[in-house]
Amino acid sequence: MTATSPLPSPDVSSADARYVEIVNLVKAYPNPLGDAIKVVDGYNLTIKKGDLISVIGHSGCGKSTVLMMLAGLNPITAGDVLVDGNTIEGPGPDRAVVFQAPCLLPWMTSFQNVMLGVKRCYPHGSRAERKQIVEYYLNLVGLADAMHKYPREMSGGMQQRVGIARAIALRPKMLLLDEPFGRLDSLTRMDLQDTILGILDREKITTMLITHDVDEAVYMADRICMMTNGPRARVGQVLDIPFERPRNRQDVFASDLYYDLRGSLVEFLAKNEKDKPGEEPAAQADRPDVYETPHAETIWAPAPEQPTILTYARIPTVS
Amino acid sequence: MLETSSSTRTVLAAAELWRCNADPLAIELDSAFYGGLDALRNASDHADIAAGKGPIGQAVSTGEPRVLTGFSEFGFLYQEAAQAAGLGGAAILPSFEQGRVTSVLVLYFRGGPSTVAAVELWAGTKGRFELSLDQSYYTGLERFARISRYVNFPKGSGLPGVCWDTALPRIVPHVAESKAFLRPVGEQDGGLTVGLGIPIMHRTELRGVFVALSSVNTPFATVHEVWVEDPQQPTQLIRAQGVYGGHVELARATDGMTFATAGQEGLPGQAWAAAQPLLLDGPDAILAAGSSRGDAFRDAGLAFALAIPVVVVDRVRAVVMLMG
Repeated sequence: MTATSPLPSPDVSSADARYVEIVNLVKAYPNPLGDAIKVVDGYNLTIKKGDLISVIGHSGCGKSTVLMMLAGLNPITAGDVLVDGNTIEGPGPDRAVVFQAPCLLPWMTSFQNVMLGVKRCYPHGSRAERKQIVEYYLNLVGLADAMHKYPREMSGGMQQRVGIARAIALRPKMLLLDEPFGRLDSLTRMDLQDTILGILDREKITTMLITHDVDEAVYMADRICMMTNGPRARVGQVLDIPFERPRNRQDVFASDLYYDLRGSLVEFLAKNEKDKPGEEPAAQADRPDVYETPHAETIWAPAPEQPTILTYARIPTVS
Repeated sequence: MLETSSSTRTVLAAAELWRCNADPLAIELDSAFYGGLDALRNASDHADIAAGKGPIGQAVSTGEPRVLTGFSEFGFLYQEAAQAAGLGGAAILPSFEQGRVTSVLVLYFRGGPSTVAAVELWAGTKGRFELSLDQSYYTGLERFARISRYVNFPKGSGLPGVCWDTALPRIVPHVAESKAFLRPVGEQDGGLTVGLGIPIMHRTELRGVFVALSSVNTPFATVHEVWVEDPQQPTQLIRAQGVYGGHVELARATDGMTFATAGQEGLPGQAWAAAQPLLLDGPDAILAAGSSRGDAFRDAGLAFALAIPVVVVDRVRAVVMLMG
């Protein structure tokens, strides 16, 4: 028998607790044969300032679609995305993206690739200031000795470091990472994960990380958003990851809780893999002692009065 | 009859319904079911229940629901009786009328290694618009308990999120296979099967969602039902869901049954009309209220019946029936 103590009430201001708000987000694509196909439908997520939230789900469930809408690179069909209280409309330097492929300009050096964005974000800075900024961020990702190398002269991991430096040098309010380690070998991947965690510990940038790797998600994230299968994908549940920061890989992997949380994610994915899109299996099929109304869709439609739920309040101790 | 029989020990071992009178300080035992737990009955007879005093009195004063592990807050008599009866936890659920606490339902749960069950209270998390685990009682579910405290559900997802979104109770007959349940339930989780979610009010606002999960061998109750208004005939209550713990005849006897929302026939109709929980102890009381399915009740050997109306924003939206 176990008791669960109440969770601590988040001690952040309301604005910081809701730094990024994704409200009823919908992405639908036209369908010449009928109704529009809703890839994402009713996606709700709130991200605290400085948190790293990892999004996992099966291939094609709409993870990257959500990220692209946040980046402003894919128009939103319905719903809202607010970053620091402002509704996003199209792409902007307040949201930097790192893709799986670093997408560097091949005729420019690392320094020049990073400078490209810095020039746009610091138009009034002096040439010396901008140079300092570029050098600072390339140094931060461990490329102090490769500032003047061209992409063709660098490994995939080094190129991805340039991509990360280019994104962070914009000093974005939000960093969007779309499977940034997907093309890297495991050692480079772990090295780069630690590099990013080190930077985020220092810079406190609110981050969304799309990944297929449950170990990566548990090790890096403050919270993990598990998406249901598409179409009409939405947030299934959000798992809090309680490991302290800065994180130490050995300490995290030595924790029993790590394996519990990891197991929970794997089971969620396995359950979703097994379930094909569609309705719940009829309850009566194998249990004559179970009854389910045929009017389920009508009865369990969202409540017309849209009840609000009270926010968490610690239960008073009884004297 | 399927694998579960009437001799199965339900997690819900006893229940009390305390009524608040017009005098806000007076709290009286309205009805109770003790299922042979005489020591608990005796403790209740000698209990000094008053507003603000002990967990029941606190619930009257604050209107806050509670889920408790252990009975230390109840006082010595209850603690001794609960320990002797093998009880492990309790839930205290106030009911309201126009924001005023009118009654308090106390549910007592079995414990011990042979009981596999979870009772949870999910509540809104400040600034996130998600439900997080607020209070809980777990028995035989160590791993499930460890993980659940880190889980959050947005509106519309998982059993708590669906109850919040629809403001309706919901039964998940097979949590391990259900797409809607979402939390992984493995074999190591003791064969959890039936899940029940009930929206819980705090005065005039939705406070959270009460969730009870139980296994085949130790079901929360033998019978779980949800009754709602017929979408085609709003003055009639129809059964939306039912799980009958192997009592197929009782399931069949309920087929096509309806109750008038304004009427006094049958427990669902009475609880709907009163907008307050009703608790019946003993087969005779159940038979008297059971109307046309009385024979099936008798054959199933049911010893108690509890009707819990789900009132959201001062409107009854459903009645949950628990029998065992």
